[in-house]
Amino acid sequence: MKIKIIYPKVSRHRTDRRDVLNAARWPFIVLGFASVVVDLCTSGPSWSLVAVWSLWMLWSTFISTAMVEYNRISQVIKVFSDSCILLILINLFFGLGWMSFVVPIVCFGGLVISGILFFTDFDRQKQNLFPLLLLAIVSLAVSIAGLCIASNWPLIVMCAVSFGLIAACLVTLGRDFPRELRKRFYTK
Amino acid sequence: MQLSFSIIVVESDLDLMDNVPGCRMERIEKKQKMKKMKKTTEKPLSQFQILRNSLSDEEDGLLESFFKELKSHIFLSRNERASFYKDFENALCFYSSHSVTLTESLRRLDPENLGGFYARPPVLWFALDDAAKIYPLSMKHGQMAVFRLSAYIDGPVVPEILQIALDFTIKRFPSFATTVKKGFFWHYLDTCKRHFLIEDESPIPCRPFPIGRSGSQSFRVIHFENRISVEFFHVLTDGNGGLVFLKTLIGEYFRLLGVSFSPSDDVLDVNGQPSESEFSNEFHKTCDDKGASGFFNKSAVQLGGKLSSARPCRIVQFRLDSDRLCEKAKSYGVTVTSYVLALMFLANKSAGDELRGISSIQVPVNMRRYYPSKTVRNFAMYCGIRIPLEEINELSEVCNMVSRQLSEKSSKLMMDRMMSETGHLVQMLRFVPLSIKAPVAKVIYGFAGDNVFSNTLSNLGLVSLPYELQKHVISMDFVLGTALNNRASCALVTCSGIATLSISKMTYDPSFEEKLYSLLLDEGFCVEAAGSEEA
Repeated sequence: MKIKIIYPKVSRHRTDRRDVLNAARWPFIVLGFASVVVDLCTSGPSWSLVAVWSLWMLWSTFISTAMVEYNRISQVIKVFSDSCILLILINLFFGLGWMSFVVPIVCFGGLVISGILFFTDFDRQKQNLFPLLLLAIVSLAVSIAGLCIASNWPLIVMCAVSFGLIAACLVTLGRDFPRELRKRFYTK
Repeated sequence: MQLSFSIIVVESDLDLMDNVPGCRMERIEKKQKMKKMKKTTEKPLSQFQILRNSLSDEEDGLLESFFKELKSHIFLSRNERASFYKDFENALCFYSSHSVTLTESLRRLDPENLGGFYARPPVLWFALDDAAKIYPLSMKHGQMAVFRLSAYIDGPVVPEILQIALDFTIKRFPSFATTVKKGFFWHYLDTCKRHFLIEDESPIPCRPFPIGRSGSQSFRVIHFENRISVEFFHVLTDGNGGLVFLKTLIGEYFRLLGVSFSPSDDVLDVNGQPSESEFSNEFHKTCDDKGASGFFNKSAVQLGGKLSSARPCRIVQFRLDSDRLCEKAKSYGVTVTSYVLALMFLANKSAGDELRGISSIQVPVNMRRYYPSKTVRNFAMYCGIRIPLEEINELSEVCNMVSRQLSEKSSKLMMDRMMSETGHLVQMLRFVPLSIKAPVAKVIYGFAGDNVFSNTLSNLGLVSLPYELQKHVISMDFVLGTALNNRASCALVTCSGIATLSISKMTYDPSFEEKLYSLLLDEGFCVEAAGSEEA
């Protein structure tokens, strides 16, 4: 069978993300598994959870990135929220006492950065409101709950920043705000 | 470049000579002359500037008012607007080089054809239809449900005109000018107002779309020699919706080249108002009929050959005389789809080493057949034709088996059942957050995937165009993108008396297409084999 070539010439295969994923998958699985096994054998603090979470962070941030909504706001928010979880794990498993102080600082830092990214390119980033709003609402709820137990300045700042950000989104988006919510929460 | 470099060298020499007394004034004059020369050599006049310089004052005035009007139709960022201007400049240059008068060029390129699409902020959004919901859930890096529709025209494609045709056409299809976004429960399509650009064709068709970035698109218009193609992520539309877009784009392309024709139901008027029925989720229309839908089935025997890393690794096309194909199908007392399916079953059998098991071919069914609809969204279901390998022997027998199964399984009753099951599934999952649904769907799809089928045949049928356009379209083709485990996927479309059967290969093993080719020759067809190189 003689095939007439009617498509552009095929160039040399270039490494794409799928190749990287295939190459990195097994080292990551082995590393995660090994850390759990070593941790169980040494019976110390459960540091393997910190290791596994760190591997997951690396994997999902740099190797198997999000296929939908891979924009700077959602990436910043993802990195900051993952870091908060990592800090909580470190604090819990190593018996350190700085969680209520450090985590809110990291969290409001993330809110401030993503807020800047959002409002400096408002027209384009309007479509990426949801992750920012979600983080702000969660931060507000956590900071209010935290303030009921014990009060410190990072929690107060986190509460103020998240509230301020929600209010700013409401004001700037105006009538677009309910539409944005309708899109994000449709169920049909 | 070389010239400007030599000027810089001379200039630096002059700088050194500045220290020599008596020569200063002369040198300054020389320096200024050099600067002037440098300016003119670094920025040669563009083709458009040359064109503009050749115009009379009256014509220049016309052009100026044209661009003023164009400006009033585009409220995008400065870069995007500049990119639009460039399109129109290129098109004007093309017209000028082909002796089209300026008045006629400006009439064809009238900015009114842009409508208010680029002048209004994006407000529309589209919920995914029931069939589209699975596509973003099941996609992976390098694996996305993409298909391509192409038209071969009677001359090389003019990119300048194709770009303008796209600029004018896209506003008629607002659900295509969208970005896939993540909601709390489902993905959705959010309108994206930007300059959509045509692209040169890449060697591997149906590449996945990078849909993650803000404002990223889920379709692409590409061109190569005399072929205009559109690739779609299935989330936007199905083959029929895509065909309406391609036909409308081609219509606009030829209108810009001076061909006049009347718009019809499937070659839309680009300046017409999109109606709600064009974007409706028609799956809700169907009757609620309960019963076995054939959704779940046992695994089918796969074609032989190792899966390739490049997907598809090759496209093979067989061009056949459509009248002869119809005659042949009639001689067996079956439809063209059944006849081609029967040939595929025979080719499937010889493309693997398995002696037992079920060979199964997936056949998408256009639901517009049963529920007339104008929607350009997905409105198709599928059925699976399954035959044990031991029973695949004689072509006439296989034709009868396929025909019987096809008429039964693609009946309205069966399709209604499948649609109502899809609807129930969507209803059941509607309050489950996407963050839970997505990984579960990936795992299920990863295990089950397309294992229940050995192959696919999607037949778009006969494509008709208005006579004035038909004259310029030689043929069309339809290429399916990647599958998970299936080694081949086939698609058939007929236009201008040529039936093009495209095979997207996911393995380097050529047994399937070779067997199909020899079967077609045995059946007395004069087959023109074309395709791509192996990737």
